[in-house]
Amino acid sequence: MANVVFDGVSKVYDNGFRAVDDLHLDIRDGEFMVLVGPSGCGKTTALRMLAGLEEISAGELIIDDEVVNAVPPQKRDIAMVFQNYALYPHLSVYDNMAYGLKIQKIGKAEIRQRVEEIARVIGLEDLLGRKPKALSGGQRQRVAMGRAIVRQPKVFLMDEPLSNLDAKLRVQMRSEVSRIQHELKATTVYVTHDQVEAMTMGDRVALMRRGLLQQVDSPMRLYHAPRNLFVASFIGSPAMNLFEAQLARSSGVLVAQIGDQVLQLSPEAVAEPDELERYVGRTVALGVRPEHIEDAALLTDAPSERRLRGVVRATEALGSELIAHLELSGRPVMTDEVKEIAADLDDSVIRELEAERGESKLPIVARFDEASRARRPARRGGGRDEPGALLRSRLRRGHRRPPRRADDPRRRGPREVLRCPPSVNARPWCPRRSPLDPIGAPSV
Amino acid sequence: MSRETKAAALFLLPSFIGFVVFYAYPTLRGIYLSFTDFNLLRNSGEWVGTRNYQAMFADALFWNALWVTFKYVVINIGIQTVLALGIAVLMHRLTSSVVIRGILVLPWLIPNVVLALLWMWMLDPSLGIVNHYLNTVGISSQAFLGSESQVIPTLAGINIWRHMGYTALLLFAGLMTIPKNYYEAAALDGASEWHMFRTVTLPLLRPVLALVLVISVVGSFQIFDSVQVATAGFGGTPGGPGNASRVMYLYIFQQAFEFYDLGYAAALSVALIVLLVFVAAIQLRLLRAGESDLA
Repeated sequence: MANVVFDGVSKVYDNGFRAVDDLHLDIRDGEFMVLVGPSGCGKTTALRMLAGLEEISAGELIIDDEVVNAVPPQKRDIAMVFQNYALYPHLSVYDNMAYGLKIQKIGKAEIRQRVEEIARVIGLEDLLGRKPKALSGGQRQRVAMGRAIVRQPKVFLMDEPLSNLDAKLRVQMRSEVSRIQHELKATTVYVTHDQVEAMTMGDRVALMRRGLLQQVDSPMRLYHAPRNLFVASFIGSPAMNLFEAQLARSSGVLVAQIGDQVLQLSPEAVAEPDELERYVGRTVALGVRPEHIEDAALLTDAPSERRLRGVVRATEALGSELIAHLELSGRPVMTDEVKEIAADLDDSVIRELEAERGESKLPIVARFDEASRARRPARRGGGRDEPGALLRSRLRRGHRRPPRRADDPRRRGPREVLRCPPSVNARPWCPRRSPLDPIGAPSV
Repeated sequence: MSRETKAAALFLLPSFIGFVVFYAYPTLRGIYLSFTDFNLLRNSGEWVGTRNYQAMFADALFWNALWVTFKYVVINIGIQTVLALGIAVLMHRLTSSVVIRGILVLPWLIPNVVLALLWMWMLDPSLGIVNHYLNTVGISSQAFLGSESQVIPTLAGINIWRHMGYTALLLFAGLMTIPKNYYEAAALDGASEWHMFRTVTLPLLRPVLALVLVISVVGSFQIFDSVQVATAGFGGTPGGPGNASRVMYLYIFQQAFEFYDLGYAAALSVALIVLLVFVAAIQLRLLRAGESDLA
């Protein structure tokens, strides 16, 4: 096993495109490091440079204190699980797994012993004689894992290994890959665009955007202390709600003006209150996680300054919780980061976001307790048709937007009252290192 | 007959007419002729049963033609396939230059007869440029097309040069269908280029290789024009010296259009067809051409 260091590594293609820009990343021995980010963020390029499949334009790549920039993939002692598995189609499962061992000139008996042992561990014993064509997606995935494991390499690389599996199998393999990794205590670099995979599997997660590393941290730190707006809006499902707000001071406490409503920011809800002081009187991006918004109907004692009023546009009852899509008057945050993440999901989302911004409609997603009775208002005769309907699970990673029918008239309904709970977790998002950027002139 | 059947018959009719007029009838007519003593000058012939075939098996020149052709095919295909495969792999792993691909197929674009004449001049024992250069590096002049032992290798060489680039391009197209991932996986598994070639490229190229081999083997059995032209120069006779380059097609041509013995020529043709069908079938079977491991 080994540690891996990216020391200012960059990749510039012939056409001048910077896929990876000055990447500094220290991966510890035995660590499960996840590289995550939207398409084109450079995560796969970084992985391929580590594998030796892509030349390094600048910087140094160090495996076990040895600079390997010029070392060919054959000599790096690295195993990789490819997105499409890249199993040799003309070889049986056994021969696929034995391929690397044969090259190492390991004795036949030992190869057989090692392959069979790993096959037993990952449940492939009965399939050793089969060709990849005769395997299911999940079985192929296992073979690809087995082929990597059996070599006992210094570092495992995995390039979106679960993305070709169906949803159920993906969840199952997620825990299986984690389990195997922890048993082997193997240094692993795992690339994915799925932030749920990143959060559930990684010891640490490195989030990248446009070739630049945004933040490396444990999943929980990434979730609770995002370093910038991009990290904040990328991590989390459903995504963090981001509103434009005016920060003000009212009778000693910080308040945020959202549209025509005022929300009190109690000191314990703010990560760095002193830092925030500088932004009083300016427009800021206020972030609230969906689970930090509660149905005020269930909490009758909530003070009025912690309540916001909004219209329920749609609900998704999931049994244990209720995902409510609400609408407030106000403006959604529209920065490059938000647009980029939205575009990564669905191109049409941006146009809708911008339309709503123009109409001062602020869509937010809340995760209510199952006891919540929030529902989309029933249709009433004479209701006004609203163009540019809002029913959707925008920015909910991994979820498709519900199809909207052209003949689906959305009507204005009664207002539900909701509340941001005073818990410490329910803090507005506040950047820690880079100053909270006032978004006085957001790009629209 | 239902409307649909009639419509189907109507649509099939043009192809059917073409097939019958240009393929089926000539084939059957050829087979029929091989059982007659049809003479081109008499423009008539009688049914003679298997007499032509009996004569063929007793004909030393027929066996000679077969042997000469066989030698040519082995030299030509053996060297050409290996060279073409090498070039294709080099192109695949090293360059994506369209110019290089273009240059490689240039010889294939020149008409055979022109090519045969060019090489005849270049290989001329006394005037040719090849011997001139051989002499300057201290090698004595070679007879090439004028030598019984050198004529077949020389003809094979000319055709290797002509077809190599084209064959390489066919194989290159086959290589393009092999996903890059396999090479990356193999590289990470520690495989050298040579090991990848043996364990990844060759097995996955097999169906394309089989097709290319069958096409080029059948094609090289049909060698005719370059022999007819190149060996006829400077007072030689086509197929010479002696019978050293009298390949099967040339022998058939001579029987039909020099000795006007169309019946015998037809019998030789039928024999050649049967032989080619056998060779192709064996090749396809050995190379399992119908199965691909890809996709």
